Amino acid sequence: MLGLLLCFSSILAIAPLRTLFNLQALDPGTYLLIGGATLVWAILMYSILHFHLFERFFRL
Amino acid sequence: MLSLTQTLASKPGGCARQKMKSQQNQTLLMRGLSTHEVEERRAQGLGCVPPPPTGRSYIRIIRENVFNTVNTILFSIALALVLLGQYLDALISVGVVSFNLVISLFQEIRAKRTLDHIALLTRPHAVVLRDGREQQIHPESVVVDDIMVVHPGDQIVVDGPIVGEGCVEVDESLLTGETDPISKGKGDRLYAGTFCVTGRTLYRADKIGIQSVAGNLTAGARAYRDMATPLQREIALIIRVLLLIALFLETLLIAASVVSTIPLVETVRMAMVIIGIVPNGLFLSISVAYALGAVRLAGKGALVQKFNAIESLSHVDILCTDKTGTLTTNELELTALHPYAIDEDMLRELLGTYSMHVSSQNATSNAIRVACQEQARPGLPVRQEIAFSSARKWSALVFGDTVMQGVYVLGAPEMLQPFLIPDAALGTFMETEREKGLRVLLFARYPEPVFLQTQDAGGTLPAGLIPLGALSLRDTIRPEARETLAQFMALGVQLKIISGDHPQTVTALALQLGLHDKIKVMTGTELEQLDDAQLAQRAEETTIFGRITPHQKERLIKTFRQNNHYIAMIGDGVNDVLSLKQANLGIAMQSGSQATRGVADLVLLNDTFASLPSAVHEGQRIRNGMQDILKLFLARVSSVTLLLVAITFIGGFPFQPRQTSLLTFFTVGIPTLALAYWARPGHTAGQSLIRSLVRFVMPVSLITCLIALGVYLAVLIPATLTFPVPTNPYREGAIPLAQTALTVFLVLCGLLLVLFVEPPTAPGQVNQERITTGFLHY
Repeated sequence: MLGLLLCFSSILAIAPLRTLFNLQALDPGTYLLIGGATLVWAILMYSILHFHLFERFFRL
Repeated sequence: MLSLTQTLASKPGGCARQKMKSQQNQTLLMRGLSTHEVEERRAQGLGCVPPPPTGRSYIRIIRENVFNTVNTILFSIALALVLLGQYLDALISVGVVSFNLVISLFQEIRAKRTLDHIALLTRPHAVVLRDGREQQIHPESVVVDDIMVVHPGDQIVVDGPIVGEGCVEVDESLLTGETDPISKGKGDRLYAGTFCVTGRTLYRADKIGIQSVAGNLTAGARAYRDMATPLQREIALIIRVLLLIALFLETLLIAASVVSTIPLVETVRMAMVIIGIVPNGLFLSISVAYALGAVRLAGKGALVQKFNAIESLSHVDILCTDKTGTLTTNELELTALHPYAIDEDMLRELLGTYSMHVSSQNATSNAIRVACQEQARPGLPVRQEIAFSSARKWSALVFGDTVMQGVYVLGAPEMLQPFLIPDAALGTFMETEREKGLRVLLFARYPEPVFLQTQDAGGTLPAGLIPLGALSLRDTIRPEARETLAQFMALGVQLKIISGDHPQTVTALALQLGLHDKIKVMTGTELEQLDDAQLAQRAEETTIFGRITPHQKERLIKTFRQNNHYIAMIGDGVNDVLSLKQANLGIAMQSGSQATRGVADLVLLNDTFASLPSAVHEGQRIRNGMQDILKLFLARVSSVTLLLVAITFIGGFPFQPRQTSLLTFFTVGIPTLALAYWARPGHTAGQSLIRSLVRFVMPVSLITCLIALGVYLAVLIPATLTFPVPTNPYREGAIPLAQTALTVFLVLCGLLLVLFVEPPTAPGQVNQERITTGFLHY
């Protein structure tokens, strides 16, 4: 997974590769926003899956 | 089925062919056709036209996987992009798909070739009489008028009338559904696809290959038989549902492009993104995983004859096994003789003569012949023979010769005891030998050479049999059996030994195999007295079932299945055919009868019983791996679909075609390889698709969609306020920025999601057996 993350980061970092996949250069603030959103997503996912919140809601 | 039974019944052994038969001289029967006559018949077109193969042909594999609806839509859109000058969009969008398609097809075709090659080794063969000697040939080499030889356990490979002496009992259940063996003699017809249960005879081939009843019936059906497994059916359903959703969204897109004048190029690019939600490659991935799994299992000594066997393997929680031929080798050794009223030499002479004159040899008669052949008298005329059957549990010969006049019976003591003379004293020999785990038989005689009725399986012997002697035989336990059973128990699979032998014999053997000494035992007689509810309860607690007939064995398997167990049944003899068909997974030994191999889902090559736990292990891994892959696919597809709907609703578009290719590659393409690698054995919970969707896919897609929407808007709104209004908002300005942020966020979530699906284990726990699936998904 780390390898894939590095690979994807290189695509974002190298301008020709970025252009090839129709990606734009983002400012550091946006990356920070995305990082924060990913962290919130991970915490929420962990809580929902760990505490079976959806199963409780649907009474499965 | 009834009409077929009537058809078979309405074709007596006579008719036109019987007239021809009467013209055939004895010489032809003795020597069969000559090589020249065979060539002549082949030149006249009287050779075999085999029915179509049952597996998928190469053309069908390519047609189903390449030229399907989704691919047709996908490639049509790509063609439209090329025509509109968007070459890179077209190339990158279909590039990943085509690359995966080619790799998967290559792997599936390679796996098919390997399996076809191995299957050749285990397919049924035909024994023909040609040039005066018996020859083993492939069924497609048979020509009309060939004299065929049939032995117990052989599959009948062509239709034709019996022309030789002797009776055979035939299992026609695969053709007619009738489970009781049918007795057939000279003039009666045998049908391809049926099995000889007992006896040996000659029959003449007159309807072969596609012209036989079975060939005719299956010619159409077999070629198009649905080979889909339950998992494949679930995936096919998912693909169809998503295809409908995609088509619905495409229709909305066309409507939107007309109303809001979206440029044609952008409409086609969006159409490519929408069709990307259909995970078409998933179906191919599953079939490739199964094909490769089957090849790996073949390497471990198990030939998969039906694709769903791999899935079945992962569910097995009860393993039923026969004793002889599975836990033990199919070889017996005579250990002791105990004569009654005569001396041991005389008993040896009588037993040797008896075993020498039995036409259908089995492990028991072989063991007796080896031990007593020196004293045997060859060449005595046999008036009548009743071959051994598992249901009767005895065999008999009627001699008319003055030297050995009378009816001689060899069989299980408890089956012969009701017919013995009233004051027969059998002593303690049999009990002592049984306690040692030996197989005990009784040999008895009736002085008059009376004719024995064969219709009634239970009451054919004359009352007043004189016991001549008892004998004990030793089974040879397979060297790997003990360790193999321990491995099964470690995998959480219960073991049930179902045998035709005496329960004491089986129990003694079970103890030698390492089963604990508090195992419960049930006999066939006890089983017969229980109703279905009682049997369901008792069968759960019992480990050893002794003196069980084939029908009782079948009833037991049915009972286990009704108790919601997933049953694997291992067998090697014809008596196991019924139960193998009844089990969820039928497993046959390679050296077993053709009949068992024919109906089994899995064949243990080289009789390597030891390969079975690793096959179960492998099956569990493949199934668990595929379930994880399915979760990941569904989570991605539903997240993307929700985002497509949500972002289009608020007036934008979430991705560009090349971005979705990137997303697919990083979130499912490569991670599914990792999941296949990390897949671990163990029982699956048997989760339904709905439960799996609610437990995992629904929360993942809803949360991902909501946060992703937040990211998209958080980038889009400030950018819209900052940037001037672009000429093409789909290529420049705020939307491409927001699309990039969305893609980055989804890739990060996709990578993390793999860890949620299959959390990594500590280094010591990681399974080192690598699943080298090597395919990508899209």
